[in-house]
Amino acid sequence: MIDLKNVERMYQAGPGKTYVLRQIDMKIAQGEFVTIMGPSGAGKSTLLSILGMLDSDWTGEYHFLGQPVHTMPSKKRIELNKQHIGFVFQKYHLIDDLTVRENLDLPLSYRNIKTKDRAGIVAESLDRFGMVGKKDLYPSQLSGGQQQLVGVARAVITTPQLLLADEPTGNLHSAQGEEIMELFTRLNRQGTTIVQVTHSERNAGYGNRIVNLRDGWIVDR
Amino acid sequence: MRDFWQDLRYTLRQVKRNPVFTAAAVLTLALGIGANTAVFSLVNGVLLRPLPYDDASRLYTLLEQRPPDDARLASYPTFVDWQSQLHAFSYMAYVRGLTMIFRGPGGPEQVLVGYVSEDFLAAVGGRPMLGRGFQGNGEPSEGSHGALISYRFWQRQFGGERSAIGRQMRLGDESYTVVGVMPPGFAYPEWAAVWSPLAALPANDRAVLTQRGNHADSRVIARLRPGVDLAAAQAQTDAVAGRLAAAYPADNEGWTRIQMLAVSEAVLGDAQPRLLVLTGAVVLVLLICCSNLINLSLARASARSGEFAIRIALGASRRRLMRQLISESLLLAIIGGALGWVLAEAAVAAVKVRAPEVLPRLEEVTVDGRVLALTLALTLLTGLVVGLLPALRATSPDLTGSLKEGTPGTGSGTRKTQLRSALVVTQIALASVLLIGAGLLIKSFWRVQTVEPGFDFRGLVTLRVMPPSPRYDNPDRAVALYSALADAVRSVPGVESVALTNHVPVTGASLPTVVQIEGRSSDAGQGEAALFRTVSPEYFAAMRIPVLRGRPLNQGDLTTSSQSFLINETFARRYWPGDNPLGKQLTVPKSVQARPDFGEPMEGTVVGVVGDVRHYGLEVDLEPEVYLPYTVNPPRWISLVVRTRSNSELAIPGLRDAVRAVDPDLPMTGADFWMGFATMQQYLASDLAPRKLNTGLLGSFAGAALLLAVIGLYGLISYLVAQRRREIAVRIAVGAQQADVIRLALAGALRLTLIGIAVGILGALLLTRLMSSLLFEVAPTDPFTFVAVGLLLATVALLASYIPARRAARVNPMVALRAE
Repeated sequence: MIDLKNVERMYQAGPGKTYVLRQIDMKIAQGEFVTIMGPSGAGKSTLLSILGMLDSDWTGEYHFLGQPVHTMPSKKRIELNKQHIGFVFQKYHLIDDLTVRENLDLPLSYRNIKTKDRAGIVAESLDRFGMVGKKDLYPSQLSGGQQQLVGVARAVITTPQLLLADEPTGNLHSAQGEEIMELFTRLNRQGTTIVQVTHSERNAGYGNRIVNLRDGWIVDR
Repeated sequence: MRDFWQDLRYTLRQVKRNPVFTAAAVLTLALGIGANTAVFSLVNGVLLRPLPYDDASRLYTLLEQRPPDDARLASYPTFVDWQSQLHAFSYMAYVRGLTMIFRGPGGPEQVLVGYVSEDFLAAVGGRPMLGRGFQGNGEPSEGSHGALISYRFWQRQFGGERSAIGRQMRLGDESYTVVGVMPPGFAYPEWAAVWSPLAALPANDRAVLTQRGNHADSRVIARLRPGVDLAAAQAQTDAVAGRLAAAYPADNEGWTRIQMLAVSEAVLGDAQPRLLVLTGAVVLVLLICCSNLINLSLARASARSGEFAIRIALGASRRRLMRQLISESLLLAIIGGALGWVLAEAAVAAVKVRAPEVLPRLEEVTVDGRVLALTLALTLLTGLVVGLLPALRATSPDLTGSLKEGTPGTGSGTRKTQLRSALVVTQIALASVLLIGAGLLIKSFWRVQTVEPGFDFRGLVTLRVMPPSPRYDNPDRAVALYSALADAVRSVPGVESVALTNHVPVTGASLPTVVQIEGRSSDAGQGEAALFRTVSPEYFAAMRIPVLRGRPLNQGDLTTSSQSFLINETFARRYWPGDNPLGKQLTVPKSVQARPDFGEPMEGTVVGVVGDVRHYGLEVDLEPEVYLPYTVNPPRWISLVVRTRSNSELAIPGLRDAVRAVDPDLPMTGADFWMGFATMQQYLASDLAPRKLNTGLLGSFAGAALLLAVIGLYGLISYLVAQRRREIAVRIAVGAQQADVIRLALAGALRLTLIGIAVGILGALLLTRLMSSLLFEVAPTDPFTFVAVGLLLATVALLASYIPARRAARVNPMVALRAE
């Protein structure tokens, strides 16, 4: 599904350059549950952004589902992201002004799905994640765990083939974190490829492969 | 379409959940749109709208001119000479103005009638909107004269009914038939309510048709022939005037030129500079509004950068984001535009109600839809462009920053801060210019108000008495009436004193004359210019005008043949500098028009010198005046001056009754306030009204500009403080005191404010020169105003910045740093 060759990401820092990712070669097959680990500043989140096509300022080759992302214009990459990728963020990143139901509807509304179909999909998702009673609440009225649950539900509502999660339990207490990780495991079993970034060995244990990053380099796999 | 409603719903929620942003944006829009629509509607209605005359640019009012700059209205014989000798004009017409008594259902009223020569309508280039023009030579048919009436008169007296055509009306002692109604805005001369052929001129006034010399209440209008330019016309008019001066030395000596005043300029008067200054001011307000809108949008975009990044991450296309933002901008624009329209309507209505006489052609001014649309479009465009910037930026590569940090402004924070700082500096600079402009006008207004009119206007009431003809045509009968009226009014409770005069100061009525001074040969040949004033002996006491030397007039002066004249201080200073004027001989021509003795010399002795009076208003230079007993040349109409002991307005009903008891046919109402009893305070208010309107409007604009600039600065400092929250927390953690943090925040605000003020002062130094014609005894670079505005702005800016600065100083370092 994912094939990275010699991917590098750097920032211009004054007269010199600072590399965040160096010569990344990585393959991820469909159905895998990969964990990216490493200390702060290792480049984990940057790698995740590149995988999710939210960052385009890198060099090297990236093939996604056989398509060369590195040659695509920004618009095409966003289109690819829209079709195949879901994102879960550490800080949930729900839209404060929208209710739970509307937050879930948002990705669907960007995919030209008919309104009545969208309503059905949202209803089904609310039911599946046990949030029917909270559908009209705003994010500020939910606990952190509940917000992340909405974040995950929103990420998978379009049934993406790849789910990218950046420290998904970083802001949650352990019981809530476990709940999310079990949810990921279920999704993975149902066929969703998952790539998560985490500091937690325990969470890494839910996946089937760990990629370690240090100072931008992959140090083992 | 299905997404449209969703966008709209989200937009409405945005509006509801962000009341401060919404209120600030809507008010900014409303203010910009409202103020600009109102002022541009005034400019359009007053200055730009064509005059209701064909090819108005070729229309000129002609006056006799005595070089270098004396001018007088032409007599009818002079007009006839001009008409026969001037070929530069395709049409010329003469208008003789008379106040007539109109007998309507509400009793006698004063109406101003223009008696016009044959080619009047052709010369002016106007035609009736209803009925027809004059036919033949205007001689009465079946005992009735033809009359054209103004639109306003038609509305007032005939209720705007079409059946007015053919109706009879009584003007003075004669019958007139309404033959046509002129369109709204047709006002030549501007005072005329009725026009009738010169053949209808009442018998007691027909003598003016044969008298040369100095006339009031007449007008000559001429239409420049196509293909003739102004210089050629001027050469021809000068040649003709020169010939007439030689042919009629007694009346025309020295009057060797003809002054050509463009009718458009005469109609607009000083409205043009006043409105242009307001236009400049309102454009500055619009710039401030747009800049404020940009600043608000940038702040909002910063706050929402995370939201946009999430939307992109969830698959929103650039077009979709733009649509969302456009719908938000549109909604704000619609609300702001609607409010602005209401503001503009209210402002125009307020100007029309509160200052109806201040601007010409104000009656027909309405809020201009095109202006509203243009202002709305301009403001909307600004809002849209700025509103769309975040959408365009959101699709750029650096999304991860926004998502990762979850804080506003990452990635391009410095650039945005620089842009916002530049906008705030711009706002402060523009506000400085407006405040300085307003400050100069306020100081001028204050200066005008401190001008001594030369008499005590408090408690004074006046009435222009218009005796019906022919009952009082005889001068003795007129004097008897005036005397009886003074006696009757004197007995009204609350009246302290009563006097009579031909023209009350500041009321707009005057009569310039020429005075021959014993032992002094005039450069111009005919004598020295002075205002012709006839008064009763009580006049100076009633007006509280001091007698500086000699004595006032007394009752004996009214009847004796040895005539006693008074002069004012300016007369004495100008013609006998350093000399005693008492006992000097003067010769003044009899100046009551249409009397057989018009122009006959009256010789008299200066018996006293009285204080100067601002006859033409507080802002106009003093004129030499010569005062004669009113009985020596009794005017055909006179003004009663009544000093009341207490509230002068309360005395008016009693005064009316007293006048009615003497003669119930005396008109005491009309279309204008001065046609009835009016207080001197009303006249002074009317004199100050244009300045008051300009000062008020410019002051409001400057106030609004100050408010907007302060809001902008407050927003920026709040934003900067929020951005530096971590830095401030670290500073506090390492020992900074509250005062240090406040100083840090205020220093930034002060720096921007001072730059803005400096730029504003430079701009004002260039721009305030353009308004020098509107200033009174204040220089366009008045240091006091410049310094005061600078201090005011700096103080207000620091106060506005203090609130976010204090908030910053209360940051809990542990909370702030943990949040990072």
